[in-house]
Amino acid sequence: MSGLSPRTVQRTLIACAITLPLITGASVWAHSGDGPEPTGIVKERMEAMKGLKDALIAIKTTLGSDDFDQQIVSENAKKISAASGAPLLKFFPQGSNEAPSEALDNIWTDWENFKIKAELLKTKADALAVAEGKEASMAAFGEMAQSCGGCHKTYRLQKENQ
Amino acid sequence: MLKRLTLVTGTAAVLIFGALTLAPSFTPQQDIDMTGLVGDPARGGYLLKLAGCADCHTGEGQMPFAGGVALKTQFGIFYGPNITPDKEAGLGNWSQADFANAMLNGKGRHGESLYPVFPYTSYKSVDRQDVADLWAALMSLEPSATPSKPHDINAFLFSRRSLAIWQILFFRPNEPLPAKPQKSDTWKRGQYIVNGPGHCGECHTPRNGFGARDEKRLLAGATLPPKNEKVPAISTAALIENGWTREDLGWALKFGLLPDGDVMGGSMGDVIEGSLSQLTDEDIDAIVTYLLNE
Ligand code: HEC
Repeated sequence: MSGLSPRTVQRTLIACAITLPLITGASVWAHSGDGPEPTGIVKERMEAMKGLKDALIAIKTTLGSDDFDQQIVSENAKKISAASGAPLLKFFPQGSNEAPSEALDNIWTDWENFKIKAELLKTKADALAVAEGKEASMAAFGEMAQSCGGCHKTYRLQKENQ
Repeated sequence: MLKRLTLVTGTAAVLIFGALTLAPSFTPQQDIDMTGLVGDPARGGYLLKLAGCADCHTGEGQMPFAGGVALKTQFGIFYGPNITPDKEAGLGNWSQADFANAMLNGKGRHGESLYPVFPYTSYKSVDRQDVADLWAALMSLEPSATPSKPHDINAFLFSRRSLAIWQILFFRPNEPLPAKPQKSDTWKRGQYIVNGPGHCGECHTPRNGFGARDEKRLLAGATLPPKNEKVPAISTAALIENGWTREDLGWALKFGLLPDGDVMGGSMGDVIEGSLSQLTDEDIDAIVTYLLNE
């Protein structure tokens, strides 16, 4: 290393580092198309999940507004409660994850735990339905949303979050 | 084809030559002065959440921070080590200065280069008082005697020596964040959380073939191994282009709630559960302010 300054060595190494991945080939960007339209139970399930999200938006909107309405919170929390637990599980018959479903196979290999997640949503929605005041509602809402995410994290294929 | 082969071999040779001869003398080594800094374990406890330490260091069914989480990367499987105060299995024999050296310089207790799965490429900018607080919090934990699992990686390709080279190429130890004196304190706090302890850029910034972050495309989105999970761009430009408002971002970060009412899962679900949902409203506000560059 006589005569070579650390800076020169660093530059050389950086040059190598940049060229190596280039010449060994850039990774191929695999992108699947939009895929088939959902049918049957997958379609019904997606509708059900959309019902959940409409309820969620209604709650979020009143929580974020200046004239907070406890009634809206509890009504929608009750809707979510009614749609979770056993009724939610009915939408997941064995192996019902044909394209374009985002449901993962482990739902059925891990059924007992999946059931717990569906029940947890019910528990959290019930707690939200009886929460009193904006602050308490906000906290209960956060916990409920986490129970949605908690199930998605494990049992739903991750798509791009944009 | 032959030309290509020569180039590849040539490059490899230069790298190996560099690894064998130059690495030891250029290993950036800079002691972190921690004298007089006394950590507060309560503040440190909050920082442990902010920095998402448990995500990698608390394995399922393990005691907190006893290690064991498997991190599957394109280079092999790394296991988050035990960082409890146990003298054999954990960090019980480390000093506060050793810990600072790991966080800010990416070095182990014996001066060896650490694997960048430990995100010192972000932690390098963590404030020294925060390092002391984190240390105090760790040392107040219940020690666990569970030994750390050895990493399951190619030991030749990923020797500590080639890591030293990697650090020379891609890492500036203990580098402060770019100073933006004209920005508000809230913005600066956000800049600090996002790029320092929060280490958002570790997943949201694309990486080159050496697994190093492409700093020119900070927060520009990436693909995460092992499931090729798409991680969205969260640069100011991308967020604005995708219609994110202050309010929506707050809901997303604190509760995982997307503007259309859907709830995030994926790796971000873990981050929200283990970290973001437990932050103060002020810190969420700071992150949002920084991300939207307000
Ligand atoms: C017990 C597990 C579980 C819980 C709890 C759960 N989800 Fe889901 N959710 C899923 C699964 C699995 C899918 C993927 C279904 C598919 O694509 O076939 C999904 C899909 C969705 C979708 C996408 C539907 C579509 O059109 O593709 C939305 C929206 C959604 N969930 C909202 C919610 C909300 C809001 C909550 C909480 C109030 C919630 N989910 C709670 C398991 C759950």
